[in-house]
Amino acid sequence: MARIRLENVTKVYKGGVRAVSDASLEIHDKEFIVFVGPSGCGKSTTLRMIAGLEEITSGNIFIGDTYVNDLEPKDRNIAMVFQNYALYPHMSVYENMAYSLRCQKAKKEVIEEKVHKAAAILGIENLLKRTPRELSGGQRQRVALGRAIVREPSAFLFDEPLSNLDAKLRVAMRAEISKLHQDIQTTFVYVTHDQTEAMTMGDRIVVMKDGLIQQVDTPMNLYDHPGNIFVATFLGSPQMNIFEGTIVKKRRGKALCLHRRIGRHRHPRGGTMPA
Amino acid sequence: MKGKTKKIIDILITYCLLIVVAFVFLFPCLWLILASFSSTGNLYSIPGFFPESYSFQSFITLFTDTAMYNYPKWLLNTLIIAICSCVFSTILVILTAYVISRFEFKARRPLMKGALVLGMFPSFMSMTIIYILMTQFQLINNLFGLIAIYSCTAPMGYLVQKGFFDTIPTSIYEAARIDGANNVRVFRTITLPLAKPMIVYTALTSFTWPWSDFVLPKILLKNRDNWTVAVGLMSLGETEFARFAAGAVFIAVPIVVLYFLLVKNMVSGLTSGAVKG
Amino acid sequence: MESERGGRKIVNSIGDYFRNIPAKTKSFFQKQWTKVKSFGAGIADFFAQADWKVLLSLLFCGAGNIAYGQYAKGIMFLLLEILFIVFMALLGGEYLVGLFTLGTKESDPWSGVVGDNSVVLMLMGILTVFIIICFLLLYLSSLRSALSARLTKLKGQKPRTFIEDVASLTGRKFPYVALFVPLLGVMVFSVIPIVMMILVAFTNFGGEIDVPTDLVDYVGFDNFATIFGATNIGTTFFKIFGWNIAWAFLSTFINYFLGLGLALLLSKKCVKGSAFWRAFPILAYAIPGFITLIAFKFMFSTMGPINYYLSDAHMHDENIVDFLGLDSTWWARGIGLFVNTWLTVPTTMLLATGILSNIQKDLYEAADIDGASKRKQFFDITLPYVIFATTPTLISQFIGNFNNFGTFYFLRGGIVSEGYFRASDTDLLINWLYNLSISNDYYGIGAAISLLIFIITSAISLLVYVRSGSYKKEDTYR
Repeated sequence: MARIRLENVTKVYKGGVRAVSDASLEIHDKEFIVFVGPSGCGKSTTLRMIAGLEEITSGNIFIGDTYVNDLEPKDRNIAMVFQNYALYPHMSVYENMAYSLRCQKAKKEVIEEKVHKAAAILGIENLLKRTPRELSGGQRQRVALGRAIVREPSAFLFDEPLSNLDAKLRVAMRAEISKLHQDIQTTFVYVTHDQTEAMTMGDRIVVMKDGLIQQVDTPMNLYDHPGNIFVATFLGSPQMNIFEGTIVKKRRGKALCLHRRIGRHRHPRGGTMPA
Repeated sequence: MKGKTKKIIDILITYCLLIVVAFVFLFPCLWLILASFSSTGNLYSIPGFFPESYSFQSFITLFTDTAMYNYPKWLLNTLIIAICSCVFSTILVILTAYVISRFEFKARRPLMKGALVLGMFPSFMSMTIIYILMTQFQLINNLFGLIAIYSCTAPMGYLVQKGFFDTIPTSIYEAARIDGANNVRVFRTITLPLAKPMIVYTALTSFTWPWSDFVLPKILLKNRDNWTVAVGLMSLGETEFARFAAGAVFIAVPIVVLYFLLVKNMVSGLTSGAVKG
Repeated sequence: MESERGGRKIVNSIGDYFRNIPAKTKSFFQKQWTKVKSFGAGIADFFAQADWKVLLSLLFCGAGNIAYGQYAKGIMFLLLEILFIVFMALLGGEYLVGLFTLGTKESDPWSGVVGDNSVVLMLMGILTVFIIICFLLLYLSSLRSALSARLTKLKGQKPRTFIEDVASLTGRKFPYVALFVPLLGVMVFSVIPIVMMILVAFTNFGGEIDVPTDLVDYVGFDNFATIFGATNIGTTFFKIFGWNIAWAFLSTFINYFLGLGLALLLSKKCVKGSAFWRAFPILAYAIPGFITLIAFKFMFSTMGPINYYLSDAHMHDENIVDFLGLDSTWWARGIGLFVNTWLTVPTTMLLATGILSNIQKDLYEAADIDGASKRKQFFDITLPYVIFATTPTLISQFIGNFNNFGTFYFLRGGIVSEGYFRASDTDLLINWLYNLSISNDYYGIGAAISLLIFIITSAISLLVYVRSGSYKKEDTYR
């Protein structure tokens, strides 16, 4: 059971910087949830608090039914894929993937079996003897994924994993990660600043800004029914048009009188539209 | 035409300067080497810079005539000190530099500032008082005193190694943490393998230091038999010039070779250690 | 014109430095006061949150822990407290007193009475002070751990067991565990000696007063009065100090620019095989310094090769120049500069080479397009960048040259000049220090001089570094 529950989670850095304010969220088991928002909105910090890499200033985090605030990352049964892959440069691909099992002092046969299984899923069996230096960006990313799969965690955490790849590769890897989610049926918590990724990959999306959760919903609901102007303008390409207007009373119901368009282009004075 | 002559003159002057510089630097070394092969030992008896006659005599007496000047024993003493302090220093410095680079803990800033301030005191101060204390506790003349001092004061020079450790991305350590490694295992399986060029550098520099340090051994070692090479060679006067030259050349050669190897190793070590992802 | 501006800049920056002192002192004390206030707030918090069980720890370290079920930890704290009290009662009190009195029992060889050893007493006193500090830290930590045990209980969780605490040694507490041995070593061999030396600077240790036969006493600022006074020591100090400063500036300046010049020479495009040419300075650098210093001493001695040629194979002995002798002040100083340059230029050259290779090539290309001559490019692009990048090392070079013991120790060790107390006219402060301390046992005065050297060199480093371009304009070259 790998639900993840955040209750009023706050992170304040020394010097008073509020990275995350009062985040509450319920992530369902096996869900693919995406945190999206501009730089500095607190999405990575939230992810790292779930992982245990950042101390929680106040609030509670539960993974499954376990209260994990004080637990070390290794005891939370999670796996993380980093933006810059974070592969151990002096170890072979095999050793990179086997590392966590070696820390658990697993038997050699068990390690062999699990590593080969994960490598097969990702199609990197022929790379097992190479070192990270000899791999391309996409291959390194797969090894990072493989390292996470081997751990058989109850949740996968992704910290902007595709940001370092070129555009074409990014599109291909997006599909692969989505397929992976279908195959292994585990909770995926994914952080990105790219709203296209969020819209195409997530079951639900968490939009964040300045440390606050703006809205949590499925992609289509966010698109059709944004909760505030930020969410409205952040999602969707091209950007949604925003008009400033007043609701006026007309003989038959209400109407919306548009004054001016908010944004770059000047629009000739608007008229009235039925509300 | 004019531009070309200007260029030729420029090249000529450049090479002249280079030759002068090379000569100035090479000359004393050459002189020592020549003198070490002189058959007469006295400085006065060598006409100018070039000995009258050459032989291996100085080298032979260096190792055989040990009554007054026990060169082999000095070599052994210095070797013991160098090896021991190399081992201890490297361990202590690498550990210190790694911990200060990687971890954020309350005492970190005060410790770094303290090390900075401590380093501003002339090193002489501590040497004098250590001499006085050792005399009171009858610990003078002890090789282990020297080893202890070299090793224990080594961590103060942690900045170079720290700079290196600062270049290792934090995400690698975070990945290891998530993978379940505790700090000891991380140090053993990740930090140490990545730090190989630094370990070599630290080991080499801490090994060569006791060979060239003359102040501390001079203060702490009174017994002729306990002298290091540096102190021993210092005691040779003008009458034993050839012997001095021989003794000097004998230890200078390996040290110079080590240095050239070190320079090569450092260059290749630093580029292969460029970690990306 | 430019030099005038430069000169005025230096005067201005020194003026600025002194003008800033009131503001800086004020902000410094403000920061300390904030620290004191937050410490006070911490104490208030502690009493607000503590209950009687925690307050027990005020008297008995670890009592609070035991009351909350952390038996092993609590007993450990208690044992350490008992150990400390026993130590203080039996030995510590005595040592502490001894630190202040430096011994009261005179030894008398005639009657066989073994007196107090002032130096050992001082050491023991300092060690006791350290032990007291350690205990205070332990005390605070026991209070903190008792309180946190209570708070965890309140939250509804079990306080950490001893095994969990030990496990955290490889976890959160790892830095402290790993640094324990290096820290101990540095404490014993660096910190304690320096603290002792500072204290010795205020005693009359040395000269006629020697342990363990005599007792040493504190004499306040007497040593400093002697150094600055109209005594033979005083006059020697000022003469040496003047030469030391001149030497430091001259040698640093010469070494720096010669090293830079050499690096530039080697980086010229017309030089083939620069690695070959570079090997010569590196050779000089690799050979242990004392060997080359002694070699130069022999080279310039009256029996040596240079005088051989000057006196034409000793045909005309009247032509022999006593380069390093008693009367050869300026020859010796010159040779000292030359030898020091010979030894140091390889280092500055390597440094400059590294820096030069980091300059972006397109800066020069842009300058070429802008029409700047090679000479202008050097003064406007290369020089500012190199100076910016090397200012921190310049400071350490300056201090290194200021405290350059080896050069004059080997070239002119043991010579005492007229009008100088146990020093020659080429000696630096540090050479004089050596003569006083090791050879002649004037430890008290020597320690006072060490303190002065420290004050001078640290003041210079701080002044130059903080005011330097590197500190203020860090982002210029980013």
